[in-house]
Amino acid sequence: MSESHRSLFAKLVEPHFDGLYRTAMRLTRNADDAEDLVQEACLRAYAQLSSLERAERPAAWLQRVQYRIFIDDVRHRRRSPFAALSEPGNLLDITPSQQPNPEELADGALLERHLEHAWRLLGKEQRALLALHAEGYSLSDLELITGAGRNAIGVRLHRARTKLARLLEARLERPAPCAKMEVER
Amino acid sequence: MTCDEIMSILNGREAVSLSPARRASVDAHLAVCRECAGAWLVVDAIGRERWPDPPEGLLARIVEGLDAHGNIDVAGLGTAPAREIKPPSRSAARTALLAASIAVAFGLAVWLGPEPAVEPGMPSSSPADGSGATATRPAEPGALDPQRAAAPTERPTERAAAERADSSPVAAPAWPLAAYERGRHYRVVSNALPPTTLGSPQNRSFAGALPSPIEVLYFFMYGCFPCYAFEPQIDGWETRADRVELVRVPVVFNRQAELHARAHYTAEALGKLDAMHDAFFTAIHDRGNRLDDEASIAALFAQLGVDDVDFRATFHSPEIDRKLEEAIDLTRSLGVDAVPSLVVGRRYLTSPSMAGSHEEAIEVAEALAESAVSDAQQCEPAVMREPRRQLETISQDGADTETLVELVERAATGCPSRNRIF
Repeated sequence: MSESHRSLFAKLVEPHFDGLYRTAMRLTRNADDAEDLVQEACLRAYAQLSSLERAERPAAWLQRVQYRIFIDDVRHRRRSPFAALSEPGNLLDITPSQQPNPEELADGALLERHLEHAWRLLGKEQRALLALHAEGYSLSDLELITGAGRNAIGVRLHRARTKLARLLEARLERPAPCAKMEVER
Repeated sequence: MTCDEIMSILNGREAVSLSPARRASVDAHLAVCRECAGAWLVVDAIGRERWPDPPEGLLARIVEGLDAHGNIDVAGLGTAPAREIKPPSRSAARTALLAASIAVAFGLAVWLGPEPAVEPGMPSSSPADGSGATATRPAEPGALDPQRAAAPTERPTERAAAERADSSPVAAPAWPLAAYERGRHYRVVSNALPPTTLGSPQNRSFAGALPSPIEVLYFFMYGCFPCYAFEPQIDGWETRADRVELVRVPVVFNRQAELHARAHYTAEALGKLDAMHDAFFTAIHDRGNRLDDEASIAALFAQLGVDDVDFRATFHSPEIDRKLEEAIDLTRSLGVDAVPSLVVGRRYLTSPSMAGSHEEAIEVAEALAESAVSDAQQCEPAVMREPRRQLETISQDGADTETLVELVERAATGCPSRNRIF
């Protein structure tokens, strides 16, 4: 019985597994955390095997399970990529000497590196919306995955983009002035 | 071309299929609209990111491990109409989306109706009721764990504490900070506290039971971009939290910050703090106005409807000088050396860089507030409510270190947070 359930589960999940993992990578930006997230999503999905089997859009169904875990769960905190914020070169520690020159700004790799840092300052829901949308899910899909209304999702997506753009801009143009300063008085 | 149209194009992922004329119109708009240009750049940058496929055998390993979970919902299993499962193609995806949008319209209409329901087969937001109704109402994704299914919005820290308590053979008091590590996610502030009139009145003294709501001091600086980025979470928390009282304390890390802190307390005295707070952050970070002299700050206050004479009289008043000194003393005595930082109950300090992110800083602060309440309720009051202060008092009486440690250990017996003292 158990073997047949597992076999059915594998059959149902396999076509969507790559997308599920890619979304997890976008969300966590870390292979270990992505594996943990996907595994947890699979465990929970397996617990509702009959619902999964009946799902008309199994990809969105699985993404909804994973989305809820990402938004709610604290277990990924331990190996959160945000721990890197306390390391040299992070958003809080940037100094004027680290500001990129014009040649560097033209470099796509530099943009990617700054995107990596700016992404981590977004809220979880904003990251999830941007990741799912970039993964190809439409606003209709996002309605089902997140439970929010279509208009609200559209506005939230736009806010997430503009916030990320501002964070990127700040990262590229302005040093953060507040890392461990001494009191002058 | 308008900003709404740009948003619509981005939301609909239509950028790659624009006609040359429409693309030219988009480019013309992006050239003059900084916000839309930023949004466009972001979508482009995220779209260019390439992520690896899952490691080989990952799904097989996960499926192999599913045996350990016997509590699965198999009601109606095998009754779904047979369908061929294959990776979705682009054309199939388009067709599916068209059909899905119709289904969504119906699904949402039902969803919003008086009887909660979901699109067939979608995981529900409602908890599983255990009544065998899963064939018509799919269970919550968290149904693997009945506790999670019953409380889908439960705070992670509550859950961790509950799990910890449940797994213990003897019902130990749940410790709100079980999910966090002292020294990493938060630290205990250790300096003696100055008398102050800042913050909520009930927190100005520690001689008594810990008050409710718990005071949270938010140390920030207007010129600090991470503080600006943290504002939405701080605002949201301030709005929804009913057990904490958030008090903003502008730090004085440099001369510009001193001017801004003085402006903060001036606005507070003039009843314009809310408007000034937003206007300051926006002026500095969105408009590039550094507000680094009194004249520019006066001009901003004038925009808020404050008379120049009133502003200057208040700005240089002894009352504001005193508030500024207290803010400086408070910052020093609590050991706040970076912003943004949150000090909970004047006992614990956390920050986004310690907790990992803005949201997690709020989660840690909430757990710290719970812990402060837990201490007050469960620990021996005379020492545990203010261990540092008590220790200092006893120390002045001439007790040696060993005596002090023994005293605190004895008082802390049975206190779930006793390890934080040592």
